[in-house]
Amino acid sequence: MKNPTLRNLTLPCVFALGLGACQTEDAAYAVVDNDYPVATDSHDPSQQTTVYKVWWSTALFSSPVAAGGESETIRAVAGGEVAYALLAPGWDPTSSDPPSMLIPVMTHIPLTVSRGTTLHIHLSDTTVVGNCGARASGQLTQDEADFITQRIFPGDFIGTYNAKACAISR
Amino acid sequence: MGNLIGRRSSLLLCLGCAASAVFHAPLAHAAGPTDGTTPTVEEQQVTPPSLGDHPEPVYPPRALSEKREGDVGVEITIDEAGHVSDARVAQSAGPEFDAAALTAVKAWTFTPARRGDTPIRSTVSLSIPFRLASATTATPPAPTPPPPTPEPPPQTQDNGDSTLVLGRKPLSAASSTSVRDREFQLRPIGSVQDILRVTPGLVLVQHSGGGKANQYFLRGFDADHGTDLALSIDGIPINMVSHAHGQGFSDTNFIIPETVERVEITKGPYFANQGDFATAGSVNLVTRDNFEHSSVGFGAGSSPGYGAPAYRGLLVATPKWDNVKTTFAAEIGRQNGPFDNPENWDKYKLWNKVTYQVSPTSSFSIGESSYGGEWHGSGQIPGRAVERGQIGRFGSIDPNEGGSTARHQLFASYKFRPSENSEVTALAYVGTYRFNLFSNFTLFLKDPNNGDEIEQVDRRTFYGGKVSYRVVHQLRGVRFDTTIGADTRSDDIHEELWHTAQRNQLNQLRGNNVHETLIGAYVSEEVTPAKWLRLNAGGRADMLSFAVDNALTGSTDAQNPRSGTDSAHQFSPKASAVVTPIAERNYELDVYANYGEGFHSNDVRGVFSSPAVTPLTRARGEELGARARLLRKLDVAAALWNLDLANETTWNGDDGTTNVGGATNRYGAEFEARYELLPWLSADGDITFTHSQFTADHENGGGLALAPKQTWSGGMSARHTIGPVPGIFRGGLLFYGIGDRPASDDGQIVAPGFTQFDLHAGYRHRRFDIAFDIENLFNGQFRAAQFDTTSRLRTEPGIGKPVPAGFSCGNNARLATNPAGGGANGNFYGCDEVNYTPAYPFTVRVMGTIFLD
Repeated sequence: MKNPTLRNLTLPCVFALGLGACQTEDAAYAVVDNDYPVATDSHDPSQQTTVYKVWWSTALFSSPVAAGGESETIRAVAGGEVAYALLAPGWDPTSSDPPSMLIPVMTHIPLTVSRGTTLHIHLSDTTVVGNCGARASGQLTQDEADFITQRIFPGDFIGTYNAKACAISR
Repeated sequence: MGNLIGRRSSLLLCLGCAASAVFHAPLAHAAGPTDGTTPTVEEQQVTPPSLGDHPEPVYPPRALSEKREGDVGVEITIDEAGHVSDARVAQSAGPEFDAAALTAVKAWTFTPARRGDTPIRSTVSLSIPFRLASATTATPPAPTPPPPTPEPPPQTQDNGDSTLVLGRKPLSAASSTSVRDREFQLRPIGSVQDILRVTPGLVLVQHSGGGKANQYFLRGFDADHGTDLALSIDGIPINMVSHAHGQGFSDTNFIIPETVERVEITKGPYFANQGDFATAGSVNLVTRDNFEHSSVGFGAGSSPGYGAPAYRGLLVATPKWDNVKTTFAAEIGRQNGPFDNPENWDKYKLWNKVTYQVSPTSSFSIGESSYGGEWHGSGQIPGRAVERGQIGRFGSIDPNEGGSTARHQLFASYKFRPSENSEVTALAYVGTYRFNLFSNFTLFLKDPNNGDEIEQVDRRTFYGGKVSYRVVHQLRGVRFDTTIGADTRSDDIHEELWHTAQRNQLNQLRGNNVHETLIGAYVSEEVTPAKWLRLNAGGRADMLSFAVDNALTGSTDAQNPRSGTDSAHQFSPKASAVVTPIAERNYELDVYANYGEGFHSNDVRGVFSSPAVTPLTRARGEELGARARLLRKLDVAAALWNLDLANETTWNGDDGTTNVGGATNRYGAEFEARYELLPWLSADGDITFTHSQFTADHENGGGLALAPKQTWSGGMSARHTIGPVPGIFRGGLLFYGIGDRPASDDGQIVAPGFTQFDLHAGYRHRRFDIAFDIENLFNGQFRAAQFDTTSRLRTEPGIGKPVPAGFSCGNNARLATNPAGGGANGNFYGCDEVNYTPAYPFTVRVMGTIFLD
């Protein structure tokens, strides 16, 4: 390489290409783990609880997650907040029919995530409040139920959800 | 050999001949006008370079044998160390003589020019005659540089039929200016936006983070992303017409800041060579033909306590050949910003240009630039979410905002001087552009389930050209400077607007194919009947033709643009007068009066929507101003101006509808001052006051939302020799700001102003350069881009539901009324308040550069 300019540029070119490998990725992410048990007969969805939707902080998980399953990972923002979810007991997530019943729940405690990490939102009767059919799960107040059904997931409820009965009165 | 020397030329170095040699000291500070007739550079205490070793050129053997003689005009640049860093032929005597002259002068050494005790870079023009011994009667005089002189004004040589030499066009408005790289190198330069801040009265703020175009404020305009500010680089327009996000969208992120050599600034619609968008003003970035050195640089930066660092790598190659100048620059980088949702803004840029000096009177440039970037944005966050503690100042409601963009362009330019008093310039360009932007302004107002996120898509090819012819002639002592020119630009655009959720497309709202062509022609005649008076009259005619194809033929939305074709045209007269009542060595004064009409085009999709947008919006402006130079140290300028805009009706790309607005009037005053405290230390300051209003009073005093009322900028900058091995220290403490302004037309909601201080320090050595920048030195917690927006957070009451007791939208905010009319009646229709992008906090950047040759 006779041209001194070109010769001198060789090292910087290698250096510059190396910069491309610099990774400073530190976004936060969130993923939903449906920890409800998978039925012995895994082909019978009526024995299972599907997580229909989840909202945490800024992340909406709109695709149902079958029992034992994990959702897609969604970009989120570092912070801490409780997660809100709709459970669809006995509903087959592969079905084209809408679930016949939705139960609003929320996590017992705020869930936090920092930058560069992934929050796993574990949902089961030990982590959420509001699933009337489960002993482990506590009960939502009516205000909490209204908040979830009217503000967080307003498009999924017509009428008023009764937190005590886990039923909708139209 | 001895015989050859005996017959060789006597080298007449005309360094001592004031008539043919000109020495240029570099600018001490900005505000160099675009001509030179009113130099603002402090030339006192400047010592010109003196010649050291200067081996004589070798007489070309063939020319010697053929007994040919010649004079080569050479322009050489002498660096701070006294070396010739660049040499070019300004006047050719043929390839052999040119090559011999260049070879010789590149080996010369000098004692560098000095400003006070500080060595400075300088440029010397000289003539190198090649004379056969028999024709030479004198031995060469001792080479002595001429006394320093400012850049010469257009010279008149009374040579019988009046031969005139072209100079750069003189200023024709008090608010016009030109700023060279030596000025903005004293500022923190992290991006080209930092360079644009040298424009007096222009405030730029970062908007939604990352690769999105900045928000521009100038002369009472919140020019959004560039609707009333014409931005260009080497004459190639940056503004995008009928852009998916906003008319005139000007993303300057594709520019590598180090390639910019000069910024040319005008304000108002007074200039015949400027067409679309040049209503509030125009800024043209002029790139350098070559660098002094090839180099490699690496920079890193961080806002301590906020996220991951940013980095930037820069590679510059500038191989030099005779008659050819080259610039090859490449930049890569990543930026995260201080946001809780990191920007992850990855970008690469290329800028390549080759300039060939075809002949002493003509040059041809060809170039290419490429840019690609993708990023995440944090959008404009509602103040109430921060007040309630739901998110932090650098938080985000929708972390999926952001997008990707790319711009690739080819360009070629040609400059030719058919004679000493005429010049032809031509420019052609073609480019492709891609843009995908995800935004969420209203959050959960329209769709409480999925959110209101949108995607704007823009794919286009743009191409165009410019040509101009300028001739200067003199008749009976009156100087006539005539310019005629034409320009054209076409855009073939495909654009879409989608409702999305987490970047997944839900339903398409708009889909259009657009073609538009703008053709303009202009003439400008400047008459100088006396040294103290210049008169300019001119005008331009523009015609816009366009076609819109609606791809959503099944849409039932009444505001969805129809398919159609149409055209519009406008004639824009211009006139200026410049009076120079004082033109003494220590006191110079120019008084300017300007009148002009201009326009900005509107998004042509709005022409076929309802209500319809006018394709061209006429602007009419007047200005009275003055520039003065006192004691060769103080430059001051002031301007009073007025601008009327025919209407503010615009197409809103965010929801694909028309925003109706009537005629507006803006007027204001601007003041600039620059003072050289010491030869190495200067201070400057600019302040503007503006009043903006709708011409018709809609029971709110004609209030006009977001129009800036006051802007200010200034600082102190220094450049001095320092260190045991002489190098140049440079530094600057600068500030800029904008006053409080109404965010809503009724003025009830206010966008608070701010003042930001930045610090720059740098040291340049022959072999390296290091720059240290601090942005937002005092860590001010203010808002950058701000918009009065009605939005709804997911946790707030549903639309139309009763407002709970105790609910508040927060400070500087109010409950929105029912958009269908009838007020709110105690129900919730969102909160109306300022949504904003926070300014960067205290941020440190370091950039090191190694020169390779």
